[in-house]
Amino acid sequence: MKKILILILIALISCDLPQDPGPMPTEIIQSDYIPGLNIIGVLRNDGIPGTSFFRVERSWETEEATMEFIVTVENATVTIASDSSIWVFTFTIDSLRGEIYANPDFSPAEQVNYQLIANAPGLPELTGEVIVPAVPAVDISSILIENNIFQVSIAGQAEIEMYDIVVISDFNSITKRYLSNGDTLIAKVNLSNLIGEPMGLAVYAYETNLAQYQTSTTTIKPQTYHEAVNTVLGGYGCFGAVSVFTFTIN
Amino acid sequence: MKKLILILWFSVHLLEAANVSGYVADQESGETIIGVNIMVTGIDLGAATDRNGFFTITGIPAGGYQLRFSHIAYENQQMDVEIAGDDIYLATVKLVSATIKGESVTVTGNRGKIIKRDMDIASFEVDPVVLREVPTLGRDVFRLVQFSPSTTVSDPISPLYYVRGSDPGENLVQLDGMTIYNPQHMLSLQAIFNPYAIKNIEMLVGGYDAEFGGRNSSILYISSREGHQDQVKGEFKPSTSGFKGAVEFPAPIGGTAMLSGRIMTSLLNRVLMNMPNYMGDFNGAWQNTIGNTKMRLSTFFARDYMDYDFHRFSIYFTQPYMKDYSFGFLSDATNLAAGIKTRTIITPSLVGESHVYFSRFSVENNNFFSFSAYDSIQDIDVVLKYNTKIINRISDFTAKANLTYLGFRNQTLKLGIENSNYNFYNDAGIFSDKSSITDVNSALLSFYFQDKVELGPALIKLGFREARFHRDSKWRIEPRASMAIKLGNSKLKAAWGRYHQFITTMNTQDVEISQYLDYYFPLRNVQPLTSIHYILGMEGRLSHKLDYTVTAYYKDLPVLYRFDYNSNASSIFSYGTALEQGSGQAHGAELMIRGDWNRFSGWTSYSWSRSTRSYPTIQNGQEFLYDGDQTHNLKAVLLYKLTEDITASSTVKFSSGFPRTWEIGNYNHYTYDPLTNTVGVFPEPYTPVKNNYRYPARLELDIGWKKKLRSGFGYYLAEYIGSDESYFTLSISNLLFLRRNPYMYIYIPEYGYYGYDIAYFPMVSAGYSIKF
Repeated sequence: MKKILILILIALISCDLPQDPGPMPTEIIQSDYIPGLNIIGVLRNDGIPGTSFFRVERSWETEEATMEFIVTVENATVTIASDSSIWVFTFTIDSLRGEIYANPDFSPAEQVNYQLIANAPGLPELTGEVIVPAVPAVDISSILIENNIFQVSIAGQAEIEMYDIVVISDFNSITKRYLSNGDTLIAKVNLSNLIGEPMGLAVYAYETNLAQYQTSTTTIKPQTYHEAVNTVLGGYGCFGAVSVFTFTIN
Repeated sequence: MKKLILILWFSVHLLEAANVSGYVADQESGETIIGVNIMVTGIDLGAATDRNGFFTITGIPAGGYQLRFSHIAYENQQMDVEIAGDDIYLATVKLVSATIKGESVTVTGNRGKIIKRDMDIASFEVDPVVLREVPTLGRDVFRLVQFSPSTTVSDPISPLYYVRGSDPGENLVQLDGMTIYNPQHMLSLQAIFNPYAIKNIEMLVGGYDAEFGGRNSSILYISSREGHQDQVKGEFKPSTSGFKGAVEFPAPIGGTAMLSGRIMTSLLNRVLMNMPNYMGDFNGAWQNTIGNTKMRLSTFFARDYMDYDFHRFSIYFTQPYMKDYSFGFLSDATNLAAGIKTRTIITPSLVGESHVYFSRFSVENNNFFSFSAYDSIQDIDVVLKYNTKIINRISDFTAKANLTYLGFRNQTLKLGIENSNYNFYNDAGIFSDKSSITDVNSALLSFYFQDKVELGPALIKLGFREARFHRDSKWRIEPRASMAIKLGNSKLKAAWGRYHQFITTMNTQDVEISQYLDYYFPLRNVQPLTSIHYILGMEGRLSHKLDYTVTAYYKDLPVLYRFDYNSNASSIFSYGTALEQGSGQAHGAELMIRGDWNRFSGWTSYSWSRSTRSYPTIQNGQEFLYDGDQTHNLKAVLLYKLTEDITASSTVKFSSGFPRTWEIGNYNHYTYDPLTNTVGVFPEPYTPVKNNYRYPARLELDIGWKKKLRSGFGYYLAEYIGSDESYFTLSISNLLFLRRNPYMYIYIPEYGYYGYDIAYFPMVSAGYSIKF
């Protein structure tokens, strides 16, 4: 009886009640947290000044996370430079894109190399580099809509890694993504889920950085290994560019 | 000295010796019996029946002898034979079933005590009676396999298992010799094999002979029942979740036949959550003997369908702060196999086998988890769209044949050829807008040769397998060697072999919410998966009723592959190019004791193991612990005969936790929408080191109780419908529910990490079955 009582006592002492966190894992390989800036910068070659922007945040340790913690970095210095000029992007709150860094006068030139330098107090310097792709060479005479399939031809350009072809109606849009191999692309978009008539075509051409970042996978499963896909040095995130072609379909 | 004289005596008499072969079958049902010992009285020769119920005793010197047939569940039988130089084929020897108290339990405990059995160096053989006697195993083959000392399981909600540090995709599962791909039900995470239809379960966990190919880690060979020659016999189990049963009968066209089936659904999910789901599996077998040829036709079909969308559940729980969300999966999987197999005794010294079958598996598996919400603090939309869509299909049309020649007295030669024509179809997309389609045909042509030499107390097997995958690739050789030396009541065993596998599977463990399927992909124009096994073991008796097995192994894994889901867009679009080659190794030691002791029977095992991997893009090629690595494993399946009618049982597993990647930091991952020129964010954990933490040790204890009914409603119901026996079963799983076995940790702000278990309370399950 005494032994049974001792066993019951041990069981109760060592039990994990549902509200308890439970037993924790043990570290077998030391791996240190490296703080850094986390950035997304998109140089948008659409002919409209001020549409390029950066969002600047920082990484965080899991234990920092509370219900109201903030990762946006408002006091960073963000500059980009080409061979001939330097542009400074300043912090602003945009009605559409929230807290971003923007320069209302900046409009990227195609096939120009831009270098990014971002600094924030207490964090390592982040750098990046991108070549803005040319506007997609869409052959509008090739546009064909037949049997609910939209077809268009786009001439190949070496620095373009990926295309998003978007067919737009008054109510929704359909996007089809293509990788570019440098050859002429015959893009076909199934319009069966398009509500209404096709009214517009937008073709977005991504260079390597943004294409790689856009197609990298994330995970929602905790405690799984995931290689970080970053196109910047000294931090996290992406510095990329996209060129835009738009066309109104009659 | 005595053994030397015996060897010399054998050598002198080899020229005038002969072989005796034949089948052994149950007198009543006509079903062949596996594991019958046949001893030649007066000399130290004998054999045991193989998975076909067939035996061969080679090199019996001229003279008159008595053959003694023995099996724990049958009456002993003797037969006189006169050896005069010519080989003797006994056709079918029939044994009478023994009526012994606690038959099932005794069989369970004694299955390992087949002393003359030409067992492979590393095998785990279990009588399926264990599935019926131990309710906590849930009548599931895979749960049973998990109690082999060689297996580890790293995801408690997945049926996939690791054998000695290899990938789950390196395990071959065969039903009556037909390869079954992804043999698990997704809904219940159980094997798709109906336990009522299973005759024998044998698992080879390494070092296997040249006749086995195509997989590098293990072969799980399941034999189904053959039918009954005179009567209709069977067993069925109705329940609220479905129906399970099997029936054996004499076939109207001659021979015997067996039909079995299970149909199951989760009514709770269907009614409460409007989530259609069902799963089913069906077996059919017919066999007949024409002259010296046994012919068997096997068919198999399984289907799983689940349409789970937890958004439908939102009628109970509204989420006002969510702008939009959905979470669920849609899975539709089908398994189909059919084949015809023949076994002909051409002459008493020459046996020919042929097998032609078609096996197909197809699945469309969509996981989706998406939501969007406005973060007013950071003034941005938090957006997650996480979709995995994988359509995978493999078709396998295989023809194989072999010849076994016993004419050289102390040698058994086996020569075989196999040709498998595959079609692989994959449409894999990690996220909805990225997918790649591959549709390729490949053929695997292989042949093998094996020589088994018996030299007194030593048995040596030498062989090789040569295979070519796809017409243009080169031939690759797989040498194999094994030996066993009898030392008193023990046997020393050793094996070495090289193994190639030409089909790989995608490990989606880090991507899918739970990986419960293998997705097959051909390895064309690249090196095959390669594994080299070194095994040393000893087996024998501890006492009259207790056997032991000790095994040490080392596996060199010079060629392995993983799918690099994080590679760039071009690789994702054509994921065949996302294969990354790596290497690894596994080593360990295992101890198993089985048998019976007083009223106890069953087995217990302890294993120590370590398995590592290395890939160029993970930590610059540094070695890391494999996902399935569990250092210590202590397991037991025990039965206790309470009374003649009641058996209590228990299963215990105490194992090290598995290695996992603990996040050390986080950052937002951005999704850029070019149409609106906006970004959404979603927090993503990151860790530069794979498997840097080990989860806590896992302890699982389940108990069960089975009672043969002698009175009450169940008994009278069985009697009313004319059945022979009826049983009541009760199982309580997760008995140590107060000790949590976390399988995932989630960080809750202002609380910390919380470890989630799959069950927080004991699960009680009761059942009723009728045998007729």
